[in-house]
Amino acid sequence: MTEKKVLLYPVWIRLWHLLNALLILLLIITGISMLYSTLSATWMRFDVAVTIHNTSGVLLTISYLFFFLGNLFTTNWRHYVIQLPGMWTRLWKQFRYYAFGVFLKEECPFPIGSKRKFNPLQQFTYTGMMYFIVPVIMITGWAMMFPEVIIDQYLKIAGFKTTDVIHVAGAFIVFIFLLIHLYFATMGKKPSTHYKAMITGYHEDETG
Amino acid sequence: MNIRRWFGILLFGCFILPAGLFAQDEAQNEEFPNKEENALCLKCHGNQVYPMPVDGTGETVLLKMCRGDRIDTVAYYKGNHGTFTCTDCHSYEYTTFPHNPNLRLEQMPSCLDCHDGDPAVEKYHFESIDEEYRKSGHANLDSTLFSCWSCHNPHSFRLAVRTDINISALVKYDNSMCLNCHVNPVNPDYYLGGGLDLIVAKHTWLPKTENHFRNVRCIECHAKINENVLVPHNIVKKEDAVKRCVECHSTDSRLLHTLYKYQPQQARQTKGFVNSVISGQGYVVGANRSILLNRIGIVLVICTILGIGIHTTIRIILK
Ligand code: HEC
Ligand code: HEC
Ligand code: HEC
Ligand code: HEC
Ligand code: HEC
Ligand code: HEC
Ligand code: HEC
Ligand code: HEM
Repeated sequence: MTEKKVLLYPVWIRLWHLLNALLILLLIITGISMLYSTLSATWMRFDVAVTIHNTSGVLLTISYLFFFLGNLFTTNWRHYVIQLPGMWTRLWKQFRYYAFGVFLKEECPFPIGSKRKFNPLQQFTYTGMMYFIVPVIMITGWAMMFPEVIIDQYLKIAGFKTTDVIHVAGAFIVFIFLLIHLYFATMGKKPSTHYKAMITGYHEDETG
Repeated sequence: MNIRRWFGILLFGCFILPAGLFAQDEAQNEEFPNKEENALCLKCHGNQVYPMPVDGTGETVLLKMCRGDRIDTVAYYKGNHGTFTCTDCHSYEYTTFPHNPNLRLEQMPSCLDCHDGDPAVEKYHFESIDEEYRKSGHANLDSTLFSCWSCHNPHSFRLAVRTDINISALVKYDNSMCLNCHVNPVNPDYYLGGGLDLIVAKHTWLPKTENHFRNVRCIECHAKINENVLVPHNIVKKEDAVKRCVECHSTDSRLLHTLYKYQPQQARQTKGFVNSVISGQGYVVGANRSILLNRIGIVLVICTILGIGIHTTIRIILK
């Protein structure tokens, strides 16, 4: 295995990612505080939570547009295109590697380089997150900020409720994604390798 | 703006107007034995003009009826007291015209005069409501200017909470009682200035103010809850009005004790759970939650953390 440096995360991705991570953390914290609000336990005032949540949501949308356009005008989008034939086999291979392979010190099946930045599992989750779940959360979030647009009632269930349930379900998925994301980012050569890469932009090894 | 206005006129012309006409028909088709007698008064008080006899000539001229003395005939027969003749409450002497000026000194009956201890309306708890009302700030105002009738228009009020009217219509009806004075220049005695914008401006700390006003009643925040009565009547001083969001946006939402109080009781009897109305008509972030979704969410988060823990442990052991 040769030690060589490749620039995987250009400045714009790092900036976007930093902003994205901060905003999502804020959204999760304030979101949870609203979701489980009670009369007595007021570690965060409801109106403060609402204000932070709404502001972060608007900023996240802007940051998302930045990500979207950035991908559109560079070649970074290619990494997000999933090749359907053999997708499940590749996902399984990568999963098997994480479940057993790593412990048996196997070679990682899809080494990272400038051609392939994401392993199949990363690609699958990143694409799903960035082009499906996050947009759904943003759309339902905006709808709740302008409730006039929501149909009042459908099949005896308030439109607002349906919107909110979708929003909250999406939020839980992002939360779980984030936990897994943080963990698997420690699967580099050293636990800090990938984190360093996300800061400096350069990837130093070709595993995991 | 213009398009909106035209659209409004069109809408009014096509739907609301005919609907009003039909409603009138309906009301007129119902049997009201008091109708004939009331017509004696309503031929003047139900119209914009009335015939004034000219002294000695036997002729009449049409004069304008003051807006404040006009009565909406349709609304009258739809009201809770639609079966009344005018002279049930007003002096019989009003049957002569011109009315005797001394009649103005006549003391009008209050709700309690008729409903005190009335077993037929026991469920409303008039006595408790009266007690509550006396504690409210409004009761300090001059009693000729302010009484139960100020909110409950004697010629049209029709209580809505115990009917199957939907929540947004109920909110609109109840709020119109307050707005009738608080933003209505037709009531200069009580007019606090401005239009709805003014009342919205007094509540800028409440985000989406107009949306809130469409979904909760003024009394939700301005009246003190009393479990004895369904509709709280003690309007507290403005400093004591509810300002904390979690009073509504939490599981122990006060809305369950006011706005949603009647319906959940009904629903509990028929359906066995409290959330039913709320999930059908309104949705209050923090108060209604999909308990299932929240549990599944938490369980999945915990499983993820456990999974990561196990993976880490094996990684460390096999290092
Ligand atoms: C010929 C038309 C006419 C008829 C019929 C008539 N009213 Fe009036 N009424 C008036 C006018 C005009 C006023 C306002 C001037 C005044 O107070 O005399 C008035 C005023 C009143 C007032 C308000 C007095 C106040 O305090 O300002 C009441 C109450 C009233 N009428 C009740 C009745 C009742 C009840 C009837 C039927 C039994 C009736 N009127 C029949 C024309 C009429
Ligand atoms: C349930 C009792 C009741 C009935 C029935 C009733 N009124 Fe009245 N009316 C009142 C009261 C109370 C007031 C004084 C309202 C106030 O103080 O705000 C009043 C006031 C009035 C006024 C003065 C204008 C005003 O609104 O203050 C007129 C005119 C009037 N009534 C006409 C009639 C006519 C005509 C009828 C029959 C169609 C009628 N009323 C039936 C209770 C009644
Ligand atoms: C002049 C006597 C009188 C006054 C004053 C009066 N009421 Fe009534 N009210 C009655 C009578 C009698 C009935 C029954 C009418 C019927 O069944 O058609 C009634 C019916 C009602 C009902 C319907 C009850 C039911 O369950 O169907 C309500 C609600 C009501 N009144 C509220 C009020 C309120 C609120 C006030 C004061 C703002 C008031 N009333 C003032 C005599 C009065
Ligand atoms: C500041 C306005 C206001 C005043 C003043 C007022 N009410 Fe009410 N009252 C309301 C509202 C709003 C409702 C809810 C009406 C609805 O939608 O059914 C209500 C409802 C009621 C009900 C029906 C409660 C139930 O359980 O269904 C009764 C009875 C009643 N009021 C009696 C009175 C009496 C008696 C007085 C005078 C002592 C009075 N009200 C004064 C605003 C007022
Ligand atoms: C008949 C007219 C009238 C109606 C109806 C009315 N109000 Fe008022 N209200 C007044 C007047 C007059 C004042 C005193 C204004 C002042 O002091 O400047 C007042 C004062 C208030 C205040 C300030 C009280 C304080 O002491 O700080 C509040 C809050 C209020 N009203 C709420 C309501 C609500 C809620 C309703 C409906 C349930 C309502 N009002 C219906 C006339 C009315
Ligand atoms: C979410 C709770 C809430 C609702 C709903 C609400 N208010 Fe208020 N309102 C308040 C509070 C709190 C204050 C005191 C504001 C302050 O201290 O700045 C207030 C103040 C007022 C005042 C006094 C304004 C002044 O400065 O003199 C009036 C009048 C009033 N409200 C009327 C209404 C009316 C009418 C409605 C219904 C359309 C309504 N409110 C709905 C919470 C509410
Ligand atoms: C009197 C009860 C009450 C109080 C107090 C209250 N709310 Fe609400 N709020 C509601 C209800 C009911 C809804 C549901 C509206 C709907 O169904 O569209 C709502 C909806 C909302 C929404 C989501 C709907 C939208 O328009 O985006 C937000 C955000 C919100 N409230 C924020 C707040 C904040 C912040 C406060 C405190 C400053 C507050 N609320 C105080 C009753 C209340
Ligand atoms: C504190 C929070 C976060 C940290 C520390 C973090 C860390 C990292 C690291 C180290 C990488 C590069 C290595 C790898 O791919 O595993 C990365 C890439 C990435 N992360 Fe995160 N992340 C965070 C939050 C998020 C969130 C909330 C999202 C999306 C909702 C996200 C989406 C992505 C995407 C899409 C990439 C690939 C970017 C590209 O190269 O195009 N991250 N993150």
